[in-house]
Amino acid sequence: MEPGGARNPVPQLRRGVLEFCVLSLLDGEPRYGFDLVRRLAADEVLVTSEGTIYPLLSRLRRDGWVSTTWVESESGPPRRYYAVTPDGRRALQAFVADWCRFRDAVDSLLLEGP
Amino acid sequence: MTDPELLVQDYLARLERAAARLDADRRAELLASITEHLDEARSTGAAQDEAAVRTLLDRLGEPVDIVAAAQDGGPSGGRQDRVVDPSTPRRGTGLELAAVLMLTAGSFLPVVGWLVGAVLLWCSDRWRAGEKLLGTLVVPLGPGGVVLLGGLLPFSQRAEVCTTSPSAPLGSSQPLGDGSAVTTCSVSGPPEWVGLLLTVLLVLAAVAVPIWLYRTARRRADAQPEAVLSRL
Repeated sequence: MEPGGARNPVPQLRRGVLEFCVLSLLDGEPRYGFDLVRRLAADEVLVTSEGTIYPLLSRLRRDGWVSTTWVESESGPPRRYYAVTPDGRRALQAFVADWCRFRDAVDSLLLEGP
Repeated sequence: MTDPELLVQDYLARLERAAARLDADRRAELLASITEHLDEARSTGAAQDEAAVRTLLDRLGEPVDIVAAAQDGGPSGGRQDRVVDPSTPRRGTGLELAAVLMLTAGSFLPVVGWLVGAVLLWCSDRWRAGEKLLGTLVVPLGPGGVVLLGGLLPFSQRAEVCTTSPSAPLGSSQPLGDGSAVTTCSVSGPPEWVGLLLTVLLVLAAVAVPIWLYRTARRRADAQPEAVLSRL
């Protein structure tokens, strides 16, 4: 449970940006679920329960923004690797531009004062 | 002291129960990925004892929250931030199903059945105006109308022309002396199979268009939860 109750805007903010954080993490290299989830969850402001990342990954896969492949692992069971698709990369690039405008606009109002 | 394996089994069982609401594909995918996550964590040796397994499961979160995320497309936050709003678009397609059933099967109830279907068709917000027009015009009164009224359609009308003459029919060797008349009839108009073919085609169209409309409505209903989560 987070402070602020019903007024807490963080879950809504998270909702809008988390999938692009996933795409960004996968942009450099494919990652397997556990690795990806632990990196995202490194900061609690982004992820409160790690399990909810998996439905998100599944939705991104259905939308054609990520693809999955099975890779044998030396240390344990085979791993499902997630990689960003060309469509996903385009969506990410569009979001990065939107995000920068959004962030700058909010920063200029919140931080620089009237 | 609880066996860590039991903790994991219990967690997966709770997840499976919560996931009963999801359709089979999503449920299987969700269960598989969470199981892989747990196997991965435990195979690396990081989560062997009870305390470590409890932390692992705590970090994953409550099964109901994970399933809620799978259900509404919301990636995180679980239930507390799901907005309950009366204007939230409905997800079912009951109205559309009723419309399509009345337009097809219901049309065998003469005129009334199809009219009810047409009204439902125009009441739905899942179809665009052009699609509603298509559903209305292909085919008015539906397959039932085509079958029941088929005999009245121009292409199935064949005129029978009869002529009566007092003389003997051609080729008769004996004239008829009793004054009786001979009637000769001939049928004009398109051959029978043309009417039959048109009837079959109209019935097929009158069934196919509503089915296609229903599939379109379903697709929109399925896509909606994602569409509601507008991108920033």
